[in-house]
Amino acid sequence: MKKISNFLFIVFSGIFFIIFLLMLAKGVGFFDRAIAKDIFIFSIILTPLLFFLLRWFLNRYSISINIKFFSIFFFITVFTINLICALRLSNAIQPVSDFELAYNKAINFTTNTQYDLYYPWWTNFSILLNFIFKIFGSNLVVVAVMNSILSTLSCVFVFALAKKHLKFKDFWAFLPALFFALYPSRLFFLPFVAPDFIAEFGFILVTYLFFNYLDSFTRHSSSKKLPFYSLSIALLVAFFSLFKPMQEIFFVLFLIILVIKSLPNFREYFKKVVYFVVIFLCVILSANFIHAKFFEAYTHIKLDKSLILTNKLYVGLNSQGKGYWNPVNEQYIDYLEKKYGSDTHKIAHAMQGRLIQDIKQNSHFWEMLIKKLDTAFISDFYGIEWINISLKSGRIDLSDLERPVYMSNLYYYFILCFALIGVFGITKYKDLKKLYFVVFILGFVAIVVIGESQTRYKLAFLFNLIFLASIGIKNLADYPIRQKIKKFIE
Amino acid sequence: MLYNIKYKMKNRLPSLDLLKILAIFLIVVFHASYKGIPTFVVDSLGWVNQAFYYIFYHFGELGVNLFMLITGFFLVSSTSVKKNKIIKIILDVYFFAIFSVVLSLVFKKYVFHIQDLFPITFTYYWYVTGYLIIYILSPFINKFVRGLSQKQFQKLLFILFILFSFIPTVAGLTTGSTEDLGFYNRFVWLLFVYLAGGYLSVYRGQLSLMNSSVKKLLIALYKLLLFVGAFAIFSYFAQINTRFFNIPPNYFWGPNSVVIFLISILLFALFYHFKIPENKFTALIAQSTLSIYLLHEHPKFLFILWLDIFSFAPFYYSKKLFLMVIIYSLVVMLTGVLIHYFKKYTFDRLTGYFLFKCNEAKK
Repeated sequence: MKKISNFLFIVFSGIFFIIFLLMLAKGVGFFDRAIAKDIFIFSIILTPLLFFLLRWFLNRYSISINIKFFSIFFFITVFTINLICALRLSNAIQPVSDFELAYNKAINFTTNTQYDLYYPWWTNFSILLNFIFKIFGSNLVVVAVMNSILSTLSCVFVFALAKKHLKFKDFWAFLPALFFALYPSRLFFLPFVAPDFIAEFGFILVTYLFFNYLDSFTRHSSSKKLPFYSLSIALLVAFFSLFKPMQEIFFVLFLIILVIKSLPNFREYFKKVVYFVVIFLCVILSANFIHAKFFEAYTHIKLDKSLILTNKLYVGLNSQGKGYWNPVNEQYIDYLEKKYGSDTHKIAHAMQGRLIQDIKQNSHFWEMLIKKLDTAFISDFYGIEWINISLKSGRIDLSDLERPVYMSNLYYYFILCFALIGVFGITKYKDLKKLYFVVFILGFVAIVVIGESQTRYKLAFLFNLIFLASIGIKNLADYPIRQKIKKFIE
Repeated sequence: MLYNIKYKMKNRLPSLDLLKILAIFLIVVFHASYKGIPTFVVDSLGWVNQAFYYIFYHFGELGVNLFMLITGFFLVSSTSVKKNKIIKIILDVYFFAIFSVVLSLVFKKYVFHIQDLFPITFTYYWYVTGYLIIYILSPFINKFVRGLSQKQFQKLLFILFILFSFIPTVAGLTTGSTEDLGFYNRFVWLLFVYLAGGYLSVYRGQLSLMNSSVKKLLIALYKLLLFVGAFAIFSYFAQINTRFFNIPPNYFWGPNSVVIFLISILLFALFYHFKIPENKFTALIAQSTLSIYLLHEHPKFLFILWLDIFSFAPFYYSKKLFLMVIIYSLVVMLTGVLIHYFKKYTFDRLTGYFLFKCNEAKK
């Protein structure tokens, strides 16, 4: 059993390493200007050195920081930065595309079959916004402030996760929080009317609770806490799934992690895993049922889970589309609705048949999947891209935004590079919490490959990469180089 | 602790014989890829062939380090130089130099240069020249080493490692090579590796490296290889050739790069652990490694060998390319073994007879 567990550690870490190494290398290779590559290399060489010196300096002069005071200062600063960015950008843009639809629906709710039927989480988001707008008014500033608060709260939990669960001591716990707070694409995305910041907060909160659950999992003394954690996790997943579909990914993720956790003593822990799964499924299924009823009462639209799933696969895998919602998909759905009316089963069935046929006939199917991976992970400047698309004054040519695009990408590559280094230690120390981030990201990769693929979808999953990168930097700075050399030559 | 050899060294260890064979194979395969596939073709080889090209290119110089480690391991206990051995090496060099010139003449590609008459002085076989100098100096080097305590020996090796491996590896990122620095050259490097081999030999009873388990060594090797692979993939796609940095996919190929040096040491320790029974076949090939090297390294014959005799041109765009590189390399090795034994029973006997007569006359 232990061998299987070790094997799984290697497999997951290996797959992650290969995919993201290729993404990083390809991404850096795409830089037109040599100076960008130079900055990247310099930052990779100097960062561990900087942290190594910082650690040495703090140890040598026994400098300790007042964590409480510093935390308050840090998070107020983070909130201020978030708020300034959100408000300033909010003034310059207007909602477009999905954001415009969500905003308009929030102000004046009307049903839109295609939108509500296929993307109910956007509708849910509009309903939530509608409620918030009723209290604070329907100004875009409200969305900017809401996103800033959510972003800061996420940052607090990132810090808490690092401190409590990754055992990052003192200033180290601020490292992932700092990377997270300053992530350019997140900052640029703050003024948008999108559920991504809610989803991100949900992902992080659920992760925090799940790690608490993992801590209690093998402890006999705290086994009474397990049902409480299981229930809280399931309820939170159910709630946040209203704004971003995350039930499936969490279910698979939890199952993998729990199985690996219980492998060394599977007989003893098997029951606990079953209890967790049962509680999780019961809560999720009940929540889905209740949500469907409420949704129908509010929109008069009957949700069909299989249609939502089929549509996602169709959008992601048909050879004509580009992996995301576009006119080709829209025309096809119009055609199906004309043919089958409101019979969602028939629509889903026809869509499935068409998709399977299309996959069989597509001789470039695998190339298409690789292209989708490239689209999602090779670069990271969606914040700037969407700001540009949404500018009130009209779009600017992207080549005129070369510098911010480069900076945004460089930040992403920096995180990616250290995330790859962070993965190295996972197989050695067999830390399940660290593996969780890897499996989480791989789950997202799978979703991107078989479903819709857009660079901005990364936002809600970014914290995983940021944690891995912080682990990588910490591992490098803590590397006992003197002892290693001594051991090697003595 | 003073230099003290508690037991007499055996001249051969079957496992190190095997390592010698691996080392010469890596060198031949490296030369086959490096000389047989022109640089301008590499980019159009297709990714599988390119991957193999860079793998072969990457680990060729590993062979050089391994040979010198083995030399240092066995020779450090010696207190004198055998004149006959020096003469024999020189004669071997001339035998293969003449052989190479004759073959070049057959292919009508020979142009005479005065340097051809002094292949050792003009480093036609750079490793042999370096080896000969170290061999001649070995009694003095060994005596110097004997005067060092283990701590001092460690310090010396550490300083040399920083100077000739670590600094060039880091600084080389800007030029694309670990061997561009003015204070470094191949001879200095061979000397360092000789000392490292000597250290492993003298303190083998106490060194954790020489006493750690095969599993641990394999894990360390796996990690290093993983690092090299990841680095190569990164630099291949990222194409770092900028104002400040130049990092080709095979950046670590130089014998003095930290990675190649560490892999050499780990491989050496790993093979040292292997308990292999005495095997005539491996001993036969291991004894011919110098001949295999001399057969294919002459600068005037090298290109004829890999571009005319064993041309890879018909396979450049074929999936068989690297199978052919391996097959041709094995053929070259086999030829080297055959020539070695042919020489042993003809040329060596003849020269041996003259040397014997000279010694007799002296007496």
